[in-house]
Amino acid sequence: MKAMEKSDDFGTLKGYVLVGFFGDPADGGNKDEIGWKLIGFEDHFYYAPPFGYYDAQAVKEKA
Amino acid sequence: MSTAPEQRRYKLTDNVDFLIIGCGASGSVLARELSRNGFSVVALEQGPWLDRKQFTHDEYRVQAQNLLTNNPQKQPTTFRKTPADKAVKQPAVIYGRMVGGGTVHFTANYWRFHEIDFIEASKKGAIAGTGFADWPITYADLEPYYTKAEWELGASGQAGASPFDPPRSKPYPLPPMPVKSSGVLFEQGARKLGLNPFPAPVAVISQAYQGRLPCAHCGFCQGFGCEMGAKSSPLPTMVPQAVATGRCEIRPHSYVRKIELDAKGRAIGAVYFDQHGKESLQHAKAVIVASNGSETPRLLLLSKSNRFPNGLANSSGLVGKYLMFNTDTIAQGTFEHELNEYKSIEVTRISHDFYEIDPKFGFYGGGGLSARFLWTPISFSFGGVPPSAPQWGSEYKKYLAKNFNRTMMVMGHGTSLPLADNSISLDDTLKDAWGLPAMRVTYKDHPDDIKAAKYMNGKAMDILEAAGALQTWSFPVGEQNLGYHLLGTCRMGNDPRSSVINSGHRTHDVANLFLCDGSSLVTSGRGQPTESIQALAFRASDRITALAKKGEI
Repeated sequence: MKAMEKSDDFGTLKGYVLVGFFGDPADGGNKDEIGWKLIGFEDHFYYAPPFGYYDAQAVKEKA
Repeated sequence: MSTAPEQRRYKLTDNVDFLIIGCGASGSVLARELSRNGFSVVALEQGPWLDRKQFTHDEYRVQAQNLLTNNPQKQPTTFRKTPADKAVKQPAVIYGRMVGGGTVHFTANYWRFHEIDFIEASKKGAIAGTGFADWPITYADLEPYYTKAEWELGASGQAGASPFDPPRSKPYPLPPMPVKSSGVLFEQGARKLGLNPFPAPVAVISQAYQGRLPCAHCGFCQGFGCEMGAKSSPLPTMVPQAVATGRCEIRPHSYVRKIELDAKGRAIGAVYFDQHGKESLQHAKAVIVASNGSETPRLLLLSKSNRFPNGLANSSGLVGKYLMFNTDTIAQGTFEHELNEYKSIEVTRISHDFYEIDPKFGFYGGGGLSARFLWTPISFSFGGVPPSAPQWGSEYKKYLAKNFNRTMMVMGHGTSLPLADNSISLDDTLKDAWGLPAMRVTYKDHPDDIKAAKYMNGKAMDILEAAGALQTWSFPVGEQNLGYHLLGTCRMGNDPRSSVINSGHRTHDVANLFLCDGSSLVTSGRGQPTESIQALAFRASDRITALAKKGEI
């Protein structure tokens, strides 16, 4: 299996699987955003800071 | 697919004041400035004219299908490392192919060049085997136009935040964008190392500006068009303002194959293929080529004639030569808590501490460092995973689930030396979809460029470690075979034997032919050339306007 993972055919197959799993659901894959939910990605148009833990901490320290 | 709004239309036989070829970073600035100055302008753009409402976050369609960039199927290129090698068909350049050009999909880093970039050869001395040279203009000549670019297009940043910043006549029009977790960690790591991190200057508006709404932090900047119109590309700024003059027509889907001359050797216009493949000749009193550092020299080489058998405006033999890509390196790190880097703009903190690497290391070069995360879900699943992690199966899946939101990178952006062998030329056999000779790219980084890139990459790793990364790794640093900063191929200079255009962007050989884009650069800067290209375009507009008003074109 390890050797197979390095083959060109496997790389192509992996590519298709990942595009299907993590691509925009509008294209037919990633049903119910299952791939996005797995990694914690959301596709929204608008976010407000703080965005993550470290910038939230930095804001707190400044306050 | 393409929307051409209501605008002034010109006939092919109308002898317009200016024909601009390419409507991207520089061409649309020239179109807006010259039309505002009272001239009639036709701007030919090979790509479509998209509306921001047509932009999406669809990673596969936008990036894999080249919606915003040149298409390697229709416009194949060949690549070789040196002129002695056989060129092989492969994608060798990426550029924006649409109204607005590469600035529609760029990351929006908006860095001025520093004073040293213009005078480095005389300060540091010649480098054997290279075309390293001073510019015919200085930073002081360009400064008013950097300011103009920042204010006319809309840039966010903090003047004086970097001790290495060159002098400026005005602050940024807008305050910096909110810092992201990658910026906070970069700042912490860099400060521990005694460096001077500062808020990244970006061509994204942090507040409402000139009728445009501010960035909504959707996270899709690099590689994508901005649906909000908050990225300060010419598409929501220069382009509508040019059209609003009533003197400018932007003609998308117009693929130019030749600049035509009259019997006296003056440009009379350009021949192009329209969307349906029909050939037309648009007449003009003067021609400005702004087609980027790869297509501008290619068009000149395609425009050879009895008068110019080696390519138009190529008496120096330097059209296409001295191609510079800049270098890019990537170091990555994972952290304990969530960064959620998929939100907001890519880069919020940078450093210019290594703008000039200490010459005692024995090589020329320098660069900038930027905190960022350039991944989206599909690309992360390929590029965001360290080689030591499992690459398939349930452990791989667990890795992605844990680390998509805990990963950041520090990129190094560095110098490329101008080498005569590194070039854009015409391929001997391969043709594009229009039957024209395909672009051939010859490129091999100078050993000093590689050394400088490795040095920057080492500093990037140090910053990640100082910031407390749990794990760090980097992409291998080596010779490049794909360029997206396309610089130096029709360089400016005072001597017609060693340059293609003068300091006013006029070609030395044809009085009514001007070139203005990445090809004009003499040195590569430190990896973020767009603001300089646009500052040059604002300056060129003033110079060309003055000539035209005096009747000297």
